[in-house]
Amino acid sequence: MTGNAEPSKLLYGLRLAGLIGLFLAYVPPHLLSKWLLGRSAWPPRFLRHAGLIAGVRPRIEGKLLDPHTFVIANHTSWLDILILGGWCGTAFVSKAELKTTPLLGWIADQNRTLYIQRAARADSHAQVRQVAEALQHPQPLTVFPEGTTGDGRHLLPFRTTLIEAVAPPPTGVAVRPIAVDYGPHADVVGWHSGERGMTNFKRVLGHRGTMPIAVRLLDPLPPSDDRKAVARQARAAIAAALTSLASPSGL
Amino acid sequence: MHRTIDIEQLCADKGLRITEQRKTIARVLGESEDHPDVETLHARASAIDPNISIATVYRTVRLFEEAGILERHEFGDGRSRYEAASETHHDHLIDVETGNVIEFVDEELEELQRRIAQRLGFRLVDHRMELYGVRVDRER
Repeated sequence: MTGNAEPSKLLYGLRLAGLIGLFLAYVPPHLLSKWLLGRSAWPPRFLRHAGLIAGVRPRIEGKLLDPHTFVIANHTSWLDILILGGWCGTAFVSKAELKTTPLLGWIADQNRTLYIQRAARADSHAQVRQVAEALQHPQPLTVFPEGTTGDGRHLLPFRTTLIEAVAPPPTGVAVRPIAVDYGPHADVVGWHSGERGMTNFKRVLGHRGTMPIAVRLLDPLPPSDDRKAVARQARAAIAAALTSLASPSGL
Repeated sequence: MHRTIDIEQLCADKGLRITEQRKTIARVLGESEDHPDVETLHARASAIDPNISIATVYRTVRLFEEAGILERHEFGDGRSRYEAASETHHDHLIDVETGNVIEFVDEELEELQRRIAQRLGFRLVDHRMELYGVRVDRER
């Protein structure tokens, strides 16, 4: 019922103004906190409140994340960042281009985003080491092994390079798949290849009403030194936990 | 580094003067993993700079709280405790004899709270949980 309605220009304008206001209000205390105390609770707060403004209403299911957790999640939309960062407190692995994107790169820095040069295949050892180092910090770290956002109806193949960092997992690190299930709203938020970022942004922010979203924190995977097996298990667990998929296997 | 200077300027513009003493108190707070009250903070800060008075500590924490970078807890013993804003959710258990504060997260409790809210027709968005106890091994 929500999927086909025309996006509302008014809602888009109001939500955009809300996001800008939120940003302006939260940056000063964040910078102050970072400078004076050396830490800040404002980035997850920002992501959470930005999510609420954007209209998402996540429901968290499953055991909470320990600080040292490597999260493998499906990727449908930029909303995933607001949801997983805001409600589960995770940092993210991102492609290196984000770092140099104006504004977004700075925001990503504040939430300890780990940037990975994707093109260089030979660098995979360095990437794996980067991820392993980041896991020493007491904040969960999320990778989206699909490598890009899907349309919400299909799970793309999982890239396994970064999963090498947790095959086997460093001492004290749990590996948990998370299924972010947009259910019937997947069509609205899905950001498929080819769609312009701005088109997607306008459609999502102009969406009428709120979007209940199930965030399923799935059971930790058994430790394994086979990264492909870890990826396979994670993918199967996520596919089984998504109601938004066109077919149960996610293919 | 120029960003640091910008913040200092920003503070000054807003009438929040960041003196050396306030900076020292901030450093003590940032390094504290517990929930110190003003007296404890004063003891720690004056170990670094003996000229810091308890009145300065009082004023500074109030200022930081207003600026949104500190959380104040009232654990019912009449003392305000301060916590450098932490990044993850946790609940508190207070030892009523010593005033020690223990942080914990319990999944069953989180779930129970969600269920109670749901039963009453609400979706839980936040909560605050404080437990008060006496250590069993000290009771006898």
